[in-house]
Amino acid sequence: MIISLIGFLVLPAIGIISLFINLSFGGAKPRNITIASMLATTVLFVLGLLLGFGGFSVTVIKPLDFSFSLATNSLSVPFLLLATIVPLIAILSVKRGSEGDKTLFYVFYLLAYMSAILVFVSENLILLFVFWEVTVLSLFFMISLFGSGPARRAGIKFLIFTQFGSLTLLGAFILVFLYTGSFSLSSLFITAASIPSSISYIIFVFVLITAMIKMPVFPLHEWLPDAYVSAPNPGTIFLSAVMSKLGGYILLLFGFELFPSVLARFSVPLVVLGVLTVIYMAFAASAQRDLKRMLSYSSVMYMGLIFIGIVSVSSSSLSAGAGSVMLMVSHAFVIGALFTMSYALLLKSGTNDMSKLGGLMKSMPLLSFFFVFAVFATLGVPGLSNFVGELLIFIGAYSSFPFVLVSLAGLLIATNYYLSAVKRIFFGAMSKTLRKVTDISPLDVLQLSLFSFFILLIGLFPSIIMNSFAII
Amino acid sequence: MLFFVLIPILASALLIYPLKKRLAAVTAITGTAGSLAMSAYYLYTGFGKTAVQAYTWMTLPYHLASSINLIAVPSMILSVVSDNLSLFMLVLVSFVSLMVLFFSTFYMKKEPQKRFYAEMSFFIFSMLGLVMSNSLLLFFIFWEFVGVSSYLLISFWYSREAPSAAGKKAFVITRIGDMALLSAIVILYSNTGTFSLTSILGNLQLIPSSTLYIVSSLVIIAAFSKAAQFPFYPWLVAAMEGPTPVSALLHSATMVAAGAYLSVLMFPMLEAAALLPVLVVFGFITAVIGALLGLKERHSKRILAYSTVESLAFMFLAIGTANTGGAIFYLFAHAVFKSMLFFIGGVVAVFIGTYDIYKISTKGVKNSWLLVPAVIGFSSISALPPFISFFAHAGITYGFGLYENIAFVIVSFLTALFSFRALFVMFRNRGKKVIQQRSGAYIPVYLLAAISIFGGVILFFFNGLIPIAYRFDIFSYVSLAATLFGVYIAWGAFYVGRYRSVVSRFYSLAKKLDKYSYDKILDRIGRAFVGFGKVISELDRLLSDSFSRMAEATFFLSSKSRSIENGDALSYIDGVFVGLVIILLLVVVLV
Repeated sequence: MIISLIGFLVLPAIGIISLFINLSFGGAKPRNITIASMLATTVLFVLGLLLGFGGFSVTVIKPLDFSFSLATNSLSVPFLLLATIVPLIAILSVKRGSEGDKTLFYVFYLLAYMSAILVFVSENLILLFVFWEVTVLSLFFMISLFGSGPARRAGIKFLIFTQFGSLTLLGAFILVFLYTGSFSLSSLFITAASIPSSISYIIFVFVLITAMIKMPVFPLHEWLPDAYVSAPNPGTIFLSAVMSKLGGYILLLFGFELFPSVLARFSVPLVVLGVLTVIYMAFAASAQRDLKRMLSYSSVMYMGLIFIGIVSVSSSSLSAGAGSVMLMVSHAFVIGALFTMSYALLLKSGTNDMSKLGGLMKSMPLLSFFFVFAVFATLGVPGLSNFVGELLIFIGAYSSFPFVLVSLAGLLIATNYYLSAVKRIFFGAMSKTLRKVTDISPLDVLQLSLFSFFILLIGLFPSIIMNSFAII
Repeated sequence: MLFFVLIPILASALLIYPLKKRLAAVTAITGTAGSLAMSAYYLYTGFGKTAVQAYTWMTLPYHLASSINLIAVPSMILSVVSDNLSLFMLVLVSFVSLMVLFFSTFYMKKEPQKRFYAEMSFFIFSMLGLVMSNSLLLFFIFWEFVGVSSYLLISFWYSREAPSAAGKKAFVITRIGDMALLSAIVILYSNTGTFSLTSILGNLQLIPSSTLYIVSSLVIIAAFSKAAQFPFYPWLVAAMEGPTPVSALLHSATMVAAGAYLSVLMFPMLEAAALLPVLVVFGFITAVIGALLGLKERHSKRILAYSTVESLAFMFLAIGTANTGGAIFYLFAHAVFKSMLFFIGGVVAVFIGTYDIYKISTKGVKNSWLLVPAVIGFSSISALPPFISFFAHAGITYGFGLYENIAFVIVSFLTALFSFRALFVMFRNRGKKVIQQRSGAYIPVYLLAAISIFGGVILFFFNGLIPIAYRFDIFSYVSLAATLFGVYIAWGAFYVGRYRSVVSRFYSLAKKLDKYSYDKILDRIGRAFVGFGKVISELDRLLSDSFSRMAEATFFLSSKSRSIENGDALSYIDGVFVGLVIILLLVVVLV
């Protein structure tokens, strides 16, 4: 038996419909419906891993070559892993009856969840674009309607930036269609070589802009800090863990798989840009006093490393590409855990301002344990998930671009600001106002244990991710 | 299967959390003892043989959808080596760790957090794994584990400011070395396609000499940062804020030793890159700095820390003069007497309540059972015969030329001066308070003292275990004379109380220079980095705000321009009329 990919559309869609039905007739809690629907999707993914995925195809508009076709490609599986599991763990942090606990929020969350998964398995470029847009729009509504602080402004900024990226993506797709006559990704793998080189340059640059906004990479990251900080916690995790990976995915697909020769032309300045991103973000993160803002910048820093991996991959050196995929998967879990903890900290202590916190290890031993664990994971301590990805990126990139080793300085700065954060929040004397802070709830522990489990699993057995490339 | 050695200690590290607190120490000791027994067994059975066992951690099949199919990207192979060096190190590390754990049962008796023994076990596990690694990748993995567990242990008493700052300082400074080592591994891998140390060192001629030079420099940076050599030493001194058993462990056979061990392993490469003189020069600089700073320090543990910095410098001197066996023997000797001295410092602190040698002096400890072991320990630092390090020095100085020998004579004098100052000040007066003999304290102290006295003989058989060259020449005795002179001066100045004016002048000078101390320079560099971060962050906020302004400007314009399109036909006609007039005027003016 083969698991059909249409299940990734059907199961979340059933969830969304039941949310609406539930809204009119009442009864179940929207949170439970959402979790059930996402759990079912995750089970489907696991079954698919065991039994194999089956494609799905229905022609919609023949002359435009628009068909509703889903298929896995060589990159899909690792991305499906992060796109199915991380949002499921992230949604657990929405407590019953808390601010985000609204049907509409869950609808947008499920919509984003569904469409992000489907982007990774879309075989038709129009379909890919549609799901891409749905992801962006549902996240925009999540930020604008359920965010905190200047959420509306952050949402608009997010929308302007990412819509510009979507526009260039659409441009690239149209160019592909004009020169190959097809929107099908699988046929594009064969026909991409026949596209005239000047056009392939334009296509590549368009996709590059999209990816650089999405990931993001300096200097197109300006939407990010506000959006990450303003978004409700599951939304932030979704943005950093899943949506940023859409950019990495599309760049790997177009840069490396379809137009490797064009990528090779651009790779030196792009690697420089990646290194610059790493260093810039490391410095920017080290000056933040707000934990969530620091994590946001730090997240971009790691996306910079991933960007280096993607743009330095070539057919002679694949480790950088493999490393960047590994780091993307790992980063999703690590940053998910970190944002979850910053949210838990905010709920328990009332602030994310690190200068007002201190000595919390005494009253929050569990949270401190998970936090230090996640910090070590993010710093690339071996045995935890980030290490192998980083190592592969450096090994892969070094032979052609020796200067990538400069970005290790970014990791060094990251060591400093993460340990400063640990010291400020958890070590030292406890201030009087924090006396009554209690440790995280069993639900948080479950959530963090799940994140930590995957961090440890990927870190100890990286071959799991590596072998998943081969599953089609 | 050599890696079996790691199983008991890892098991105890993992078991301590679920177990009851009173079982924590027993579990850790059992695990370490198990590892020690297995190491000894392997040393006995595997003596003189070299065996490499390799395990594939992961292979990287990468499937491409386009024309290319399944290109195998090289695998990551982890391997351990069982030879005399690694087996000896395994025995040494597990033995010293066992002693430290015994001492912990005394020193940490009232500690409520049971994570102490779990972290200690993990630390010992990391170090045991490190010394058996043959693959650079595996070496780096354990190297990082050592760093992480040392961070956790140094900042163990987290609720105080100093330990948490010290832990962070230690991790950040050693992380510089970690990144250097990682770079070196990446570069070596790109050039040789393997992580295996034996293959890399066997194929050094394949690596371009400029690359070799860079890699060797990176390795030296890594080794220096871990071994607390100049310019990285401040972390080790700050790390004294950790619990005393941790200091004893860090300073003897583990953490700092890892740096020296790395240089021993990579010795053929350092030699091929002609960078050995760097080790010698930095070794002497560090030794002098360590001795001088130790001379002005009042905190007994920090004095020992400076002495560790100096002792590690001796190891680098031996490596730098192509006598790695001498470095390993000194590592062994140093591990023995230094852990003992830390135990003594810890016992004094428990009963007297301070680490300040002058306060200890006033309260008096001369009439305690600690006096004899302390004399043995400080004599060992100064390499007086018949103690173990007198013999160890014969190994260090073997490869010395004239200049090195002269410099070493001066260093010997300084070493004796600062170490005997500590001894004489601490043990000058008799006290009323009885220092009790607790089994957790005196068993390890006496055992290590015994090895310090009689262990020197091992030098003469050591060559069978690890190739070592040693020689007692004229300079050995000149150094000894300098040492004795140093002891005499220290006795005069700090025990009898002569040369008061010179001593007080020295201290006032030291106090003045404190303003320009290296620590403060480091802090300033750190602050500069943070300041630069603030500039970047401010810049980023400006950029971000300017984009927000643009978004807001769009809103503003749309809100104003919306009123024009109001659906009122008359106003449209007005508009058309006004527009026509303007165009006509423009035409008239322009034509």
